[in-house]
Amino acid sequence: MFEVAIESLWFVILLVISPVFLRNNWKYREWIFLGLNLFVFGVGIRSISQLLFAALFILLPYILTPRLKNKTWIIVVLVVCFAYEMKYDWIFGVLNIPYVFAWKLLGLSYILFREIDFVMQYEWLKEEGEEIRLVDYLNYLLSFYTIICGPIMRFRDYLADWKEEKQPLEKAEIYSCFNRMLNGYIKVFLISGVIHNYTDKAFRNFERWSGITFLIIFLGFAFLNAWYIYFNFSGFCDIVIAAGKLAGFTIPENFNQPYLARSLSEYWNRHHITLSQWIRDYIYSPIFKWGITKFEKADINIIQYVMLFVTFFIAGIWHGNTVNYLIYAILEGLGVSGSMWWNNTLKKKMGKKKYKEYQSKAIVKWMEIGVTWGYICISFAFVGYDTWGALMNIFR
Amino acid sequence: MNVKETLTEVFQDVFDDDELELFDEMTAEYVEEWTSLTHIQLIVAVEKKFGVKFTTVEVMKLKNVGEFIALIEKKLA
Repeated sequence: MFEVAIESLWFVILLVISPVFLRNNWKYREWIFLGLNLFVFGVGIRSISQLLFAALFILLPYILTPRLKNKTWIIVVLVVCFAYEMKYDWIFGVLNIPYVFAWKLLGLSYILFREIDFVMQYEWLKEEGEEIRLVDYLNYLLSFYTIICGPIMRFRDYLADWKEEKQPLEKAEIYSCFNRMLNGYIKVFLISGVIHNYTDKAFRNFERWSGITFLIIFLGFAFLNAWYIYFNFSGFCDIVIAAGKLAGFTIPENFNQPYLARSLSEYWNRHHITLSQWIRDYIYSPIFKWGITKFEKADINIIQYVMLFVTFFIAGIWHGNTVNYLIYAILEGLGVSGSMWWNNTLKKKMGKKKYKEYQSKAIVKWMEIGVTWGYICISFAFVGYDTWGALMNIFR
Repeated sequence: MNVKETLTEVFQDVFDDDELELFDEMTAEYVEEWTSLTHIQLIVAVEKKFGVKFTTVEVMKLKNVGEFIALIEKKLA
């Protein structure tokens, strides 16, 4: 059976040969792209009921958005479907909810992000006289380049990019794309593969150590796992961005040296950038605006800390369905709002001018980078492994 | 006082800078304190000052101060 993964040979071949069919101005280009997208998406479908659920989940926003004035209900239905399909352990376990529809789709969360973007931008596009066709909608939602792991494109940007007349690439550009793809595969296969070996070994042997030795092993594990996540995910993005460029797509960048961030909020502007922008537009902005309006007399900074916590908590639990991701979400929420509080407090105490001088010192810069990086490593210790379960076993 | 002058006051208040002057092509790049986090504070302050409401998409559409002024004028008309 085919498996949809960046390292599958058939997927590599697809990425390499697709530009032949897609980087042109043929009339049927959109249908070829749709065929490829449906094929890749279809590979992940395992039953008729899953297919029916997929059809409903995908077509619902396209059918309802032009017909309903209040779009909030469409988003609520989509989010509830998503939350159910994700089968959050800490909700299902506690509330004893039966999980009868095990239809988790390929790229479920990325489809949800794009659907919400489509629903939100629909009126804007109509205002601009844009014709919103099913084929464009499906290609946007199911693009095989970005369905597995992002980056998250916006519908408006996707349409503009799709309609742009495709020019042949220069030899140097083709070389640079293949070079980036190769670098991406080195990151995914070689570097993150080697690192993963060590994190696996450390995780499997947690129980063998105790006291200070355990602490050192745990920190080493957290440090390596953070690098694994970076190399694996950024490598994946390198591959699809470069392969997309060969085929005539401008897929947005998703990383900008995240481990050089001086605070958690800056980190989220450098790591998974398209997710950060999405949550800024569709979670943080509306809830912060609601908070300021609702609690007019409260301190605006406190509202901001609370809303930042809520936003990054949601971003955290989106990553996975176990208790480990719940801990990761709490750490992310506390980290972002805590770093904002720290910076605001310093600014208030020192005054604008002194704070600027303080920030410009090299030692302050590297200390901030170090603390932020350490915090990110600790929070990433709960991503990809049942670290919470292992810690519970050790301390029981 | 026209929209631009009132908006300048709001900007000066939100970004705590009495010397801040607005121009149509101005974007967040020109104001150090104007981040994605302070942007919402600015939007809410403008809503309060002018007695108008902006939707999420209207806010997303804004490219510069000139467009912001045009949107406020459209809402007030």
